[in-house]
Amino acid sequence: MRKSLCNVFRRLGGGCTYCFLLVLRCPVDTVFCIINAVFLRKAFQSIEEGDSAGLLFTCAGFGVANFCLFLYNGTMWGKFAVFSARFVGKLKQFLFDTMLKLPFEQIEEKTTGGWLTRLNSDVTMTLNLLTGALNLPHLVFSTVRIAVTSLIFGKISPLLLTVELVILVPHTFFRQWFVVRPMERLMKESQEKMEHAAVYLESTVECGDTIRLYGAEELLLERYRANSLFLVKFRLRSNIRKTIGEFLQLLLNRGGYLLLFCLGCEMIHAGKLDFGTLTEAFQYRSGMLAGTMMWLNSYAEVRKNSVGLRRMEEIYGTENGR
Amino acid sequence: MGILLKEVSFGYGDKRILDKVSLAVREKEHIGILGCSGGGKSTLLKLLSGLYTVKEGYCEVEGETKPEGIRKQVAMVMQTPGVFPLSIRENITCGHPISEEKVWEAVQAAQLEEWVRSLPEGLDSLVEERGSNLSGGQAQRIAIARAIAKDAPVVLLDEPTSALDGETADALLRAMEPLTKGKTVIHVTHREETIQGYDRILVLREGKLFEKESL
Amino acid sequence: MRRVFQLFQNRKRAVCFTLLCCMGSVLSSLFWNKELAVLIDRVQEGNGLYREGVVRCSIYLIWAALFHGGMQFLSAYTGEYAVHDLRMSLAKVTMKREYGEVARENGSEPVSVLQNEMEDINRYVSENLFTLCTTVISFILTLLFLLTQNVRLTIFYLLPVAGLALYTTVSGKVIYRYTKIEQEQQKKMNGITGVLLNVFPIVRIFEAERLLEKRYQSRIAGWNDAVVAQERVKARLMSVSGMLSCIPLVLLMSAGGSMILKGSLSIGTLYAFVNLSGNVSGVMINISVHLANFRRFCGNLERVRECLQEKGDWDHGDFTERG
Repeated sequence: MRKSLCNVFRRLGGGCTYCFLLVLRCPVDTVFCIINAVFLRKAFQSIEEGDSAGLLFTCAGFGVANFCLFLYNGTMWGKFAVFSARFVGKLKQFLFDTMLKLPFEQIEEKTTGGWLTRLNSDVTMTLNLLTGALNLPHLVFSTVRIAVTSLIFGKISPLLLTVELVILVPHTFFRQWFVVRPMERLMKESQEKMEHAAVYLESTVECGDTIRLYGAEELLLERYRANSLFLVKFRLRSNIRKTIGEFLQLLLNRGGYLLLFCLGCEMIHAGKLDFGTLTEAFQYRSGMLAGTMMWLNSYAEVRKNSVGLRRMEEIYGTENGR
Repeated sequence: MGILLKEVSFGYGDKRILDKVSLAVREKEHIGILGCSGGGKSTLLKLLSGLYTVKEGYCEVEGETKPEGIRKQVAMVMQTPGVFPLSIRENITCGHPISEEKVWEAVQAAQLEEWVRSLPEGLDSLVEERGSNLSGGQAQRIAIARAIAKDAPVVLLDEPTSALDGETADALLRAMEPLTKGKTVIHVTHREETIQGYDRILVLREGKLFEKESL
Repeated sequence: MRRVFQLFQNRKRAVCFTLLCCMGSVLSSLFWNKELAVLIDRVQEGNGLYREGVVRCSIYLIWAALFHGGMQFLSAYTGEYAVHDLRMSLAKVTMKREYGEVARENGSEPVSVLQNEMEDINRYVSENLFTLCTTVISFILTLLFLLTQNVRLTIFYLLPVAGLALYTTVSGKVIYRYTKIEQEQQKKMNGITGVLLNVFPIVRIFEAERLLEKRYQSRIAGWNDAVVAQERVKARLMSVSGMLSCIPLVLLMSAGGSMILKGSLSIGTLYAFVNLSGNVSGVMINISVHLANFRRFCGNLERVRECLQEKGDWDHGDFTERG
């Protein structure tokens, strides 16, 4: 995918601007997480210290910080989106021009549907890849978020971070291999089975005369019912994985939270930590977890959408020539 | 009386397809009906088979006048064979309790036996969606076997060979002999040679039915 | 709403069990937060962790996981069987209709309904409908819980949320309008590529490349303007929405903090408020999104009803399969 991206940026230009805008946009999520965490820490510390002026100052500071952050976000988002839209427009024009110059034999090689997919769907996939939610931008944002929040979390308490990692890492791998990947496969299979079920309904329409003449209504209904029930059971079987995944996710998420909470309370009791800082640590933990989920989802989407980018190279050629 | 039609008219919206058609067919009589495409031949058979409801005029088939009753008295082979994505056996029996022996008799009569026996799963082999794993002749023979297995007193044939090449069409006409033997038959076609030797030949033109000799 | 009830007519028991699981899951979350609040208050008083509290939290944790998993499976079970009923109902009606009627109409209609609307209904029922039920149950129970903890704080932090919900609804409508314009422009732009492919030999013979190129250029410019406008509006409105969504937390912390300082609230309760506030304010802010999705689902059900055509059947509640 990296090669395909470099190839398209090399041909159309704008690669540096894209990276620059991406870098400018990427701290927003992380900074938001930090602002929230610091706000909760300071607010709880002020409450613990009985400092009402400090509390109001913290609340006002939180409001101002958020205002600045979202002002920045709105500005950067706008610039990023405008650049991306213009880039995709350029890409469309480039593809169209390249196609117009292709030899007729090459045009004939593919069906009209195939060419339309290249020019329309594949470009939309590229647009999604470059700008869409849970795509390349979010992959970068979540990477930054995971790195920064885990660093700060570790700085607050290396013990709490280690405990969290011991739970999070195996759980993430288990979820990916036991739930997410098999579910993708099962969903595809279920789609095929759904199409198969449609065949029976199609024949009831296409062979309506034969069915009514020979009284085959009951037979076809019975088959259709059996097929539909098979589909139901197949989907429910695949849902068991999802159920186990959800069960474990809640158990480990809250279990991890409870464990960290108990450890944190012991540390507070021992005078090594205050409640505000524990709340802050939980915010970074949430940031890590949300970042991990976002990273995994974005990675899956990036993989899916990069197919469109690679397919477009069939028109304008790869980096090493056609 | 095998079939009795009295002043039957039928149309779609304002367009009249059949205009006061009358016909009387004796039991076991073989009638051929000639007509050009779009002339209303298939519509006439759909009325005679109880697929369409007669709204103007009177229709009686083997003493039955209601569409559900008529359908029980009729077997029909159409231009397109109408095969289901089920097994060959189920395509023939349509889910009715027909004995194994009778199914094989129908298969034999429709000249399908050799082919069915060559299949690894025989009668239980699956027909794919829209009969994509069958040739046109095989699909039409299954339709014939289905009609034979129904053993109805009236057989309606709606250009069953029109989509086939000459050689296959001839073989299919031979396969239809056991189906039509001893039955009341109405065969609509635009090819006269396929209905030679029939008791009477009629012509359907502009929604009206004429005796061929009277033209 | 009647259509939704009809959809589950034969699956009442499954629906009841699913809703019970939803309720169990929400209750476990409330008890968990209540217990955390007690634990925090004890720690704040200078005591260490007490074993019973941790054990109770662990029990609520297992309870929550079991109910959450159960709800996940039961909602899929109920949804799948309800859609099976609907599929069978569609098949039966298709089969029982007069042949003449079927032959005159577009035969692919039931199949298209099966593949599109039914699939959407299935997805919504198994993934969103019971999640929406949980959200609603969670909203009601959490609101009641928060009111029992502190009425004044609950009302104080929820008051501005109504304004936020209004803002989200209006901004959602504005964004939708821009999205529609963008989609229309995209359709126009994609149309040109279709034309090119159909007339490619003619383009070559009559050297009409420049003509098509110019036309495509103008369409791209139109689409670009639409996307830029859409994205700019989206960026502004959603950034404002993000900023405004911080208000409930600020109010909660400032008012809650003041109450703690005055001694009318404990720090543990405020922590529970922070943890649970999203269950109430989140629902209120996103109400327009939930309603839009639910309306689309009802629209799909209506399309299936149109396809079933035998209006009498549906209206007399004979919507689901009778075995």
